[in-house]
Order: sequence, then structure tokens, then C-alpha cells
Amino acid sequence: MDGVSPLRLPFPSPLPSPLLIFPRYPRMASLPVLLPCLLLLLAASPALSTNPEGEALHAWRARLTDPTNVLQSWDPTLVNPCTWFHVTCDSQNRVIRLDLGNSNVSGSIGPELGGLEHLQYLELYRNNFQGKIPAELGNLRSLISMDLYGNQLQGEIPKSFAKLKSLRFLRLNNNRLSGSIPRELVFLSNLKVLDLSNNDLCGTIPIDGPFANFPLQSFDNNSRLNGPELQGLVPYDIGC
Amino acid sequence: MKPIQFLPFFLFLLPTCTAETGAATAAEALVNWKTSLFQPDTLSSWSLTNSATPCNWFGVRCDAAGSLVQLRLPSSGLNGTLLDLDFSALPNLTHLDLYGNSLHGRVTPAISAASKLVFLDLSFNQIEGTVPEELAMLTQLTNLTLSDNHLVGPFPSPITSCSKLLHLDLSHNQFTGVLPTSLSRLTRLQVFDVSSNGFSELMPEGLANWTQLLSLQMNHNPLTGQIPREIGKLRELRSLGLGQTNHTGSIPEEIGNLTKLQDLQLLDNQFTGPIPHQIGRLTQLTVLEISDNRLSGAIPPEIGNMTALEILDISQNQFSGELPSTISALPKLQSLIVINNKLSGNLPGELGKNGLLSTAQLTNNSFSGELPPLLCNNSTLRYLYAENNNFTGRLPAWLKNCTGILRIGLGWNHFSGDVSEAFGAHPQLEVLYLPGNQLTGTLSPAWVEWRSLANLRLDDNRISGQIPPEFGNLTNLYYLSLSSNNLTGSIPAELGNLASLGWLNLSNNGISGSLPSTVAQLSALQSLDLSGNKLSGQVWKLLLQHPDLNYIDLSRNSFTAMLPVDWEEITNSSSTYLPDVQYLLLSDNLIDSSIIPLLCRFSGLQILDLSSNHLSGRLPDCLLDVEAMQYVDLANNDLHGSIPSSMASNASLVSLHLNSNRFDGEFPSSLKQCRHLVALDLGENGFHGEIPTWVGDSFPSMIVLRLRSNRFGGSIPPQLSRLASLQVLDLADNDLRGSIPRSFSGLSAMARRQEGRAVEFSALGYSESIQMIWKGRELMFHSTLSLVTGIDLSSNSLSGEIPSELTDLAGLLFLNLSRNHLSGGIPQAIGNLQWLEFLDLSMNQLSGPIPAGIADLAFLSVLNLSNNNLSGRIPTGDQIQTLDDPSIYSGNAGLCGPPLSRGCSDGAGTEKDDGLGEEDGIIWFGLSMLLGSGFGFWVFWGCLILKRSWRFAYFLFVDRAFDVFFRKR
Repeated sequence: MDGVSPLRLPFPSPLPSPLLIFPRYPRMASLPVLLPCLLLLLAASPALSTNPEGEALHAWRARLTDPTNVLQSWDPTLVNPCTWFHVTCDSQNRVIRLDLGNSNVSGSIGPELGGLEHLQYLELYRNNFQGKIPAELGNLRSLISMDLYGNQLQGEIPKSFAKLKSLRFLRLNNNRLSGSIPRELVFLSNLKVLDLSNNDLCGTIPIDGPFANFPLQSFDNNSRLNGPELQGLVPYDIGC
Repeated sequence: MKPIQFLPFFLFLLPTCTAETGAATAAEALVNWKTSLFQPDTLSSWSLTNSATPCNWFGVRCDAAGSLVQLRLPSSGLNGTLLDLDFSALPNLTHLDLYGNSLHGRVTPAISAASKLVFLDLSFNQIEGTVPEELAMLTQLTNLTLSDNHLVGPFPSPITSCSKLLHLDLSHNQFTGVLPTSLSRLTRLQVFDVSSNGFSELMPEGLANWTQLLSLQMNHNPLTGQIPREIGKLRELRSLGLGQTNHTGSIPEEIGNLTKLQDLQLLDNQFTGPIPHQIGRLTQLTVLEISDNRLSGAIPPEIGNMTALEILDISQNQFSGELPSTISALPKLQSLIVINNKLSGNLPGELGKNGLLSTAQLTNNSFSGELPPLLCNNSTLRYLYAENNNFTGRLPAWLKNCTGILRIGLGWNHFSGDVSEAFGAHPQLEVLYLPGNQLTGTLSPAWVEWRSLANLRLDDNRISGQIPPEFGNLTNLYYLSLSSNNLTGSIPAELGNLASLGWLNLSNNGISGSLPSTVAQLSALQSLDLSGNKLSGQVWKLLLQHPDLNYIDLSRNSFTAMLPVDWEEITNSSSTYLPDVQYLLLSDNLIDSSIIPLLCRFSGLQILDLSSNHLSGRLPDCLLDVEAMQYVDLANNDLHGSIPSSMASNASLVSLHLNSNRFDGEFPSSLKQCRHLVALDLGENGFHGEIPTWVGDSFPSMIVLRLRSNRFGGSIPPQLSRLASLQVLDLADNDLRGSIPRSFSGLSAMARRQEGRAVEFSALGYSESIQMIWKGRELMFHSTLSLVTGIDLSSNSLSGEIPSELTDLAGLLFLNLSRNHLSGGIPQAIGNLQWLEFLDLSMNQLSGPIPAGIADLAFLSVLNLSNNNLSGRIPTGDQIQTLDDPSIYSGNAGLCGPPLSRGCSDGAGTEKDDGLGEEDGIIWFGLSMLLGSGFGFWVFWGCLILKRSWRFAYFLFVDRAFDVFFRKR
């Protein structure tokens, strides 16, 4: 082994990068020039930010496909994500907007996003997002607008959305959502605009709370949706 | 592999007379050859006066009949050629061994005269040219070794007629072309070595004939294609070398037939697919090297059957899944190397139980759980690298007893626990890397017993307490990084004893006090980072004490300049050595201007950051005149006066930050020389006068021009549009008048989106940063700066229309024209700016409707159009409907529609309506009319049909009414 002599790092670069010299076992006689005895491996320090919102977004990004490179500015080494593009912060450097509509992004909507507790606008419309809507999005208690329309989302509308007390705009149309409309949504007293059209929802349409004001177009093209609820007469998830 | 031993031993029964004449001429031939050699010192016995017969000469052997049969001169310092050796005088020569000399020239064709040659070794010389065809006449040849020469040309196919060949070694030459199919004739071949040549194809059908083959070495040739399946027929093979051969495809499962294989090298190819499970049949194999390929899938558990395996190297592939537990059953395993894969899960629980494991390299995988308890069983472990995984738990308790270990790398995992109790006696420990974990506790004075320690990294943990003074006895220490912990206390004076220390990084802790004077003794110091502490002291002392110091970061401390009165004498004295400092980062300290004359002495200074200090007064001429200077940051000080005019010699300046001082005067004309300037920030000063027109022609590489918050007047020179690299133009908060130049459409770097990775567009590890108003907030841009494009002309007195040409700058991320006197309409094509995130046109006199194109700018997240004269319906669209704060439209009396509460009267100017919705409404209205009337009809008539009494009552009523009506008539 060569490793007996003390390790010397090469000429110092201003950023002390963790250069590690890996010892290798002695080579066989037939391979004296194929490889040097030492493999120099540069394990660059990830030096990730300690900002939890930046970490959440970066973790999500790692699972996305981004053919047009709209997320190129998402550099995890920055102290916060406020200078990332398509991210907007408030004066306390907390993420309040995520604008990725029409961006050709695909992948799933990550549960990590539930960690952005001050998020007000979640704009992911007209992309290729697949999979389920994570229940963690219900933790976004400051959310004003959630636009997930025009994707390929499946599964049910999470019941946890009942916690989105500030929500005014909820547009989930043009996806493949199934199941019934969660009754818990009737408690979203601030909800002003709802669009669930062009999905595969079933059951009946609630009529309480804000649902009293939504036009029927909001529920169009859900072939298994049976029209407004007749309270007490039939179960709301009939036909599901 | 082991060289294959064989003893070609032949006895020749020859007529005595020929033997005698042969020997006589042989002596002459040898002496003739000797005289052609350069300084043949080893051949002093070769002399006709010494002896008429050469049989007792050095390196010569004769047979019983006195005939020369062997010439063995390995490593004898022979320098010359073979051309002058008369082989016809050596007709009985069977062995010629000239290994390891300095012979050059070609292989002479005359060698064929030695037709009885059995053994020919010319390896490790400088023989060049092609191999002569005449070699084919050496039909007795069993052993031909021409390796490590400069032979060229195609494979010497004539030698395939030497059908007795057992050992053929052409390795380490420059042969090219394909391997001939005639090789298959060499059916007795035991060793075939063509490693390190330029052979470009493997011959499949030839292989199968070599049934005696023990060793096949083809490493490092540009062979292509797949490994032929016929390889499985070489059942005697002990060693197979196919490393660096450009092979593709999968590893054939027939490799499992080579059950006598001891050594298998397949490294650095483009193999794909999994390791065939048949590999488990190679029970003699000691070395399995398949690193640097594109292999994937799980590691087959059958690998545990390879009971002779000592070295397993599968690094640099895409293997996934867990390491099979069978690996821990390998009785002889010494080295397990799996770095750079996608392996996950726990390590085999009994790994290391064989008591022989000395190397475990697990770095850059996704392993989790704890390190297995037997890893350092028997204290054999020397190298443990497990960095960049997801290991958890405390540092393993067995580390304490792992006394023979040399290097430990466990950085970037989730190890926790008290670091001071994790180790024991490790007299040979050289490297301890534990950065990026959650280790707590304190630094232990007991570590001073590790006298071999050269590298200690504990950065990015939660270690607290003080640096033990005992660390001063770690005299081999070269690299010490304790940054980003919770260390407190002062720097112990004893650290000055670390005579080998080249790197010291204590940044981002809570270390306080002044620098001990003993720091001066760190004579090997090259890089010093003490940034982000509470240290104080006099900077000038550090600058004059370390001959090799070139990187200094003392940012964010309380250092002062405090130069003594006689500093010039000190620097001029012979005992002071001015180091070649290149990086000097001193921002956020208490340094005053007195340091500047000293800094001017450092002619190698490239990066100087003195921002946020107590610099005051005028800026001395010399500083910006330092020839090597590239990055200068003097922001946030109290400097005043005009910029020195003597920057003529400094053409290398790349970045200059003078913002937030009290500089005045006109735009510095001395900057005209700085053609490499990339970033110029003169913001927040008192500069006045016009922006000179030459600015547009002087800085072809300029990316950022920031002149915000000065008193620049006049109009914006249209020539600025010639700054073809400009991405950020910030002229806000000045007294600029006139209109926005139409020529701005020529700012070509803004016309397209900046692509690439977020990088610090600076060199030498120093990151450029610029303060910008981004989405209404003042933010410091670092790495993302390279991707930003934007224009801020807000808070001036600009008038006229917004030129429609601005919408050609399709890459703009922000556009702020607020607080001016702009009039006319918002450019119709504003929708071209598809990457726009921030648009502020507020506080102008803009009129007309809001163009519909604005509505679908998918990334527009902050918009302000307030306080203008805009009118008409606010457009609707995917993105604009998310900008629902009405205040962004306020102060425009003519605007209507959501989110304003003011509705639009019919005919209000609008470019987009929800016509489809209205159509739907009509349909629904009609439908409900139809249903309603139908329902009413059947309620009425249904009742009459079903209820007889009602029916009678009704018709009775109708009859009576009829009667009354008509009788009155």
C-alpha cells in the first residue's frame, strides 16, 4: 500500500474542497500503466443550505423532469430560495409564490411542498404532473390559490384540503381525478372559485357552504357525477 | 497474475565439427557486436584475448559439445542495435534473452538464421519498426516476448506459423489493426498478451481453439463490440484481462465456465446489464475488477460462492439494491470497493467477520442504517470510506478498538453522538474526515496521541467547546477544518506549533479573542479561513508572517488595521517576507484606510474584499493600480472624493464594487481602460454628470452595470445598447431625462434567456454578488446572477412612450419603469416577454387598455400597474387571474373588471371575454325553461288525471265560468 506516507493535498484552492485520495490495492503485473495506483476522487461538498423551504423545493426538484430547464436557477447552496426563479418570497424570506404554470415540467407533485407553510399561490397548471395530489398540501394553511389544472393527476381530492382556510381559488379541472368530492370542502368559507370539471369524479355535488354559489360548469364532464346532492335522501358517494 | 513457468530445455546432438567452427565464428560475431554497442561495460569478459571460446564469457552458455546455445543478457545496460549481431554465426542458439536493455533500431530479419531459437525475449527495450516476416522461420520458437518496445504496424501474422508457440507477449507496443484469424492455428498457446496496443477487434472464432490457454491479456486496446461467448470454451484460463477495451453489451454468462480463473479484469469498459449470476462458479478467483462500467441491477448473491475472492471492485457503475449478505461469508475478502453506485439499504450485518477486511470503500451510494459491528473485526481495517451515504446512528463503538486504521472518511452522513468519546488509540491514523454530520460534544485532547494525523475535517457539525491547546502537538497536521460548528473560546497559542499546517479553516464558529502571536510560527500556512467568528487583532501582522500564504479570509470578524507608525520600515527589512497573497477577503470588520498603502505592496493581489469596513477619506491611487487585481469590493464604507485617475496599468479588472460610499465627481474616465470589466457597481454614491457615451463601447464583456441612486443626469445614451453581454442594467433613482432609447432592442444578451447552470460568474472561487430590487424587494444575488436579465430605470424623470422595441428583449426577467413620466400605451407585444417575473410600470401617465398578452405570462408573479391612466377591462387569463390583489391596478380611473370591484359597463374595451361561458348560460337557461314548463304541465294535468274528484271540480268550475262569461254577453 502506498498509504503510509502522510496525505498531502494539492495546491490549495480558495474553497477548501474535500479532496480525498483513495488508496487502491496493488495492481497486477499486467496492468502497470492502466491506472494510477491512486484514484483521485473529488467528493465535492454538497454544502446544502440550512433553509428548510429551499431544501424542500430542491428535494422536490430532484425528482422532476424539466426539459426546458426552467428550474436551472434552483441552486441549493444559496442561503434561501428567494433569488431562485419562479419562486417569490415575502419580506421575511419565506416562500409565498411558486409559479410554474405552462412549464413542460413532469413528475409528481411532491409531499415536500407541504413544508412551504407560508405559501399563498401554488401555480402548477398546464404541465405534465402525474400521480396523486399529496395530502400534505393540506398543510399549506396560508394558501390563497391552488391551480393544478391541465395535468394528469389521478386519485382523490385530499380531504386534508379542508384545512386550507384561506383558500379562495381551487382549480383542479382537466385532470384524471376520481372519487367523490370531499364533503369537508364545504367548510372552506373563503373559497370563491372552484373548478373540478373534466375529471372522473363521482357521487354528488355538495350544496352547502361556498358550494351554494358555484355554477354547475365547475363540475362539467365528470361522467359519474350525479348532480347536486339531495341531503338525507341518498348517500353523497352513490355510484362511486 | 503469476508468470507462467515452463522450462524449455532441449538437448541438441550435433556433429562436433560444426560445433567447433560455429563456436569459433560465434566468438568473433559476439566481439563484433560488442564493438557496435555504446559503452558495453558488462561485456568486459567478451574478448578474444581472454579466451578463444566464448563459452565462459558473461551471459553465454554452450552445450556439452562447446556450441553456443544460450545468450542471456537481461538488464545488462546494452545500448545499441541488433543489426550488427551476425546470427548466422550462432546456428545452435536456442535462447536469446535481452530483456531490459536499451536496444533500439529494428528487429533484424537476419535473426531467422538462428533457426533453432526456442526462447526469444527482447522486452523492455526501445526497439522500433515492424516485426520482420522472417520471424516465421523460427519454427522451434515456444516463447516470444517483444513487450514494452516501440513496435508498430499490424499484428505480425507470419509468427502464427511458429506453431510450437506457448507464450506470446506483444504487450505495451504500438501495434494496430485487427488480430488475424490465423492466430487460431496456435493451438498450444498458453499465454497470449497483447495489452496496451492499438488492436481494434477481437477475433471470435480463433478463441475457441486455444484450449490450452492459461492467460489472455488484451487490456487497454480499442477493441469494440461484445465479449464473444466462445470465451467460455477457454476452460484452462487462469487470468483474463479485458480492461479498457471499449467493450459494450453484457458480460456473457459463459464467463461462469472459466472455473479455474484466478484473476478477472473487466474495468473501464461500457458493459451494461447485470453481473451474470454464473460468476458464482469462479471459486478460484481472487480478483474481480469490473469498475468503471455501466453495469446495473442488483449484485448477485452467488458472489458469496467465490470463496477465493480477495478483492472485489465494482465501483463506478449503476448497481442498485442492497449488497447481498453472502458477501460477508467470503472467507478471504480484503478489499470491498463499491464507490459511486446506487446501492442502498443496510450493509450486510456480518461484513468483516472473516477478520481480514482491510479496505471498505462505500462512498457515494445511498446506504442507510448503521455501520455493521464486525467491520473492524481483528483490527485489520485500514481504509474506511463511507462518505455521502445516509448512514445514521452514533459513530460505531468498534471504532475505538480499530487501532490499525489509517484513514476514516464518514463525511456527509447522518452520524450523531458525542465525537469526543468515539475514538481510541489510532497511532497510524492519517485522515479523519467527518464533515456534514450531526456530531456533538467537544474536541478531545486525547486525539493528540494520533501522531500520524495529517488531515482532520470536522466541519459542518454541532461540535462545541474550545479548541484544545493539546492540538498544538499534532505536528504532522497539514489540513485542519473545524468550520461551521459551535466552537467558542479563543484560538490556543499552542496551535502555532503546527509547523506542517498548510490549511486552517475555523470559519463560522463563535471563536473570540485576539489572534495569538504564535500564529506567526505557522510557516507552512497557505490558506487561512477564520471568517464568521468574533475574532479581533491586527490584520497587518498576519500579512507579513507567512511566506506561502496566498488565501486569507477574515470576513465577518472584528479585525482592525492598526498599522504601526514604522510599518514601512518593517516591510522593507530583510527579515520580513512579503507573501504572494492572491485572495484577501476582509469584509465586515473594523478596518480603516490606513491599511491601503500596505495592501498596495501586494502586487499579486487578485481578489480584495474590503466591503463593510471603516474605510474613509479619499481612495489612494495605488490600490486600483495593482496590476494583478481582478475583483475589488469596497462597498459600504465611507470613502469620498473622486475615483483615482491612474488605473491605466490595470487592464485586468473584472469586477469593481464601489457602491454605498460617498464618492462624487463624474463617471470615472479611468475605467475606460478596463476592457475586461464584467461587473461595475457605482450605486448609492454622489456621482453626477451624464453617463458617457463611451461606456457602450468600452466594456464588451460587461454583464452588470449598476449606477442606482446617484445624481446622473441627462439622457440615457443610446450607445449603451452596444453592451452585447449586458444582462442587468440598473439606472434607477437618478435624474435621467428624455426617453428610453429605442436602440435598447440591441441588448442582445437580454433578447434571449440565459441558459446553463446557476454558477458564480467569477473565477478563483470568489463569488460575484449584486444587490438588486427583485419583485419589489432588495435582494443580494449570488450564483443565480449569471441567469438574471433585467432593466430597472425606475425613479427617474424619463418621458415619452415605452418603446415597443423593448418587447424584443424576450429574455427579460424583470422590467421596472415605475416612477417616471412615461406616457402612451403599454407596448402591445408585452406578451413576448415570456420569462418576465416582475413588471412594474406604476406611477407613470400610461394610458389605453392593458394588452391581452400580459394575461398569460406564466411566470409573472409581481405586477404593478397602479397610478396611471389605464382604462378598459382588465384582461383575463391563466396567470393574471392569480394576481388578485386589486391594489396593483389602483389609481387607474378607467380600469374595470376583476379583481377590481368596479364592474365593466357594456362595451368596455376588452380584448378577451368569456364568450364561451355566456353561451353555456343560454343553453342552461333554455334547458331549465323547458324542464320547468314540463314539470308545471304534468303537476297540473297529472293531478286531474289521477284524482277524479279534483277533475270533476275543475271541469265544473270551467263550465260555470264559461256560462257566466257567455250569459253576460
